[in-house]
Amino acid sequence: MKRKSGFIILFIICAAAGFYLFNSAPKQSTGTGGVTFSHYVHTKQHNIKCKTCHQNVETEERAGIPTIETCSLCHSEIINPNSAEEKKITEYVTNNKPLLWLNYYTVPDYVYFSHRRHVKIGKLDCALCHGDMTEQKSKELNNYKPILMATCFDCHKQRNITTDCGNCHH
Amino acid sequence: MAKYGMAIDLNKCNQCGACVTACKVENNLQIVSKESAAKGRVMQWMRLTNLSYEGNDPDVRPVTIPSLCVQCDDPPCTKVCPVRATYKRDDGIVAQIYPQCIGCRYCMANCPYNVKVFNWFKEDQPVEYEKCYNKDVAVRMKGVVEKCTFCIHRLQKAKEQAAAEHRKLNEEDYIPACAQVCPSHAFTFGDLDDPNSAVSKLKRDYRKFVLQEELGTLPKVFYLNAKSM
Repeated sequence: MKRKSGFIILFIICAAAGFYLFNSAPKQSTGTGGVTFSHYVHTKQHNIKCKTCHQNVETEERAGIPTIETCSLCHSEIINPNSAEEKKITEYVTNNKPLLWLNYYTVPDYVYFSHRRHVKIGKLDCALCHGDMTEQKSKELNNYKPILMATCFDCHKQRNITTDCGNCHH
Repeated sequence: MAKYGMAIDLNKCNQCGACVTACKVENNLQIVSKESAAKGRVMQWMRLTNLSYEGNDPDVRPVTIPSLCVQCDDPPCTKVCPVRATYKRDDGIVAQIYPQCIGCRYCMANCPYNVKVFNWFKEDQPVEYEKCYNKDVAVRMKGVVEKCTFCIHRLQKAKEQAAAEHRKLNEEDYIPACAQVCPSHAFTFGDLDDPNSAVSKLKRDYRKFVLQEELGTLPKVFYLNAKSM
C-alpha cells in the first residue's frame, strides 16, 4: 500500500513537471494571432524585400513590425481570391483593425541591440541572425535561430569589432 | 581614443538640483520607499553633497557640491570586483555590467567617493514613472550594484549617428544628461586628450581641484572654485 501511494505521488510530480516544462517552452510561432502570416509567400513568391515591411531597420534600433497601414499598401484589394488567410487580412484592412503580432525574436532588457548599427552601418544580411526566414510558411517557425551572446561574440571577433561589454550592456 | 572628463564650475552652480533629477530620469533609477530612504538606501547616481552652511540664522543656506562617480583613471572599485562586472573602458569611462554583477558590494566598500548604489529590493514604481522609462537603459534587477556611467548609452547612440552619416564623432554630439540640463552651464564635458577642448582648457584653470586627491585615483571629474567653501 505504502509503495503504491509512493508511485502515485511520483506520478503527480512527474506530471506537474512535464506540464510546467511544456508550458514554459518557447512558443515558436509568428503571425497576428488571427492571421497566419507566411514569409514564404511574401518574400519568395512576391519578391518583397525585408525592409518593405520592417521599415525602421535602417533608421532605428528596432526593425519594426508592420502596421495595418503597411499591409493596406498591397491588401486594399484581393490579390489571390483562393487564399483564406488573405480574406482575413482584407477584413482587418477594411475595418482598420490593428494587428496583434506575436513577438518572436527578442533580446533581454539588459541588451542594447541596434538594427541600424548592424544593417545600415555594418551592412549585415538579415539571415545572419534570423536564419532563412523566407522558408517560413506556417505558423510554426521551424528554422528558428536562437539569439545567443556566444553568436554575437564569434561574429564580433571574426570581423574585428569591439567586444567591450559596455557597448551592448548599459 | 578619446578620454572623457567633466568639469563642474562651483562658482556657476546655483544648487538647483536639476542635474540630480535629470540623471534619475535618464537612467531609470528606482524610486525607493520612505522606509528604505530612512535606511540610507536612496538610489541616486548624482547627488548634492552638503559641505557646510552659509549665512546667519534665519537665512541659512546649505553649501553643496554635485557629486557623481568621478570616473577615476586608476579606479579602486574595478580592482576588487571578482567577476569583472566593473571595469575601465578604453575611453576612460568606468562601466558597470549589471547582468555580470553578483552583488558582493566590494566595489562599493572600496569606492572612496561613496557613489555606487545597490539595488536592495525591487520596489513598485509609480505608473507614470514606468511609462517614461528610457528604453536605451536597462532597468536594473535586484541585487546588483549600479553607478554613473557618463550616460554611456548616449555615447553609443552618438557614435551610431555619426557612423550613419559617414562622419567623425564631434564634441557636441555626446553630452551626459546632467551636463545637458544644467541651467547655469556649470558643467563642461568633453575629451581630455584633445588639448583644444573646453574641458581640457578648464583642467589648466587655476581654480581646478579634485576630490580626495591624496588617494591617487586620478579622477576625470574635477571641480572649479575660487571661493572658500
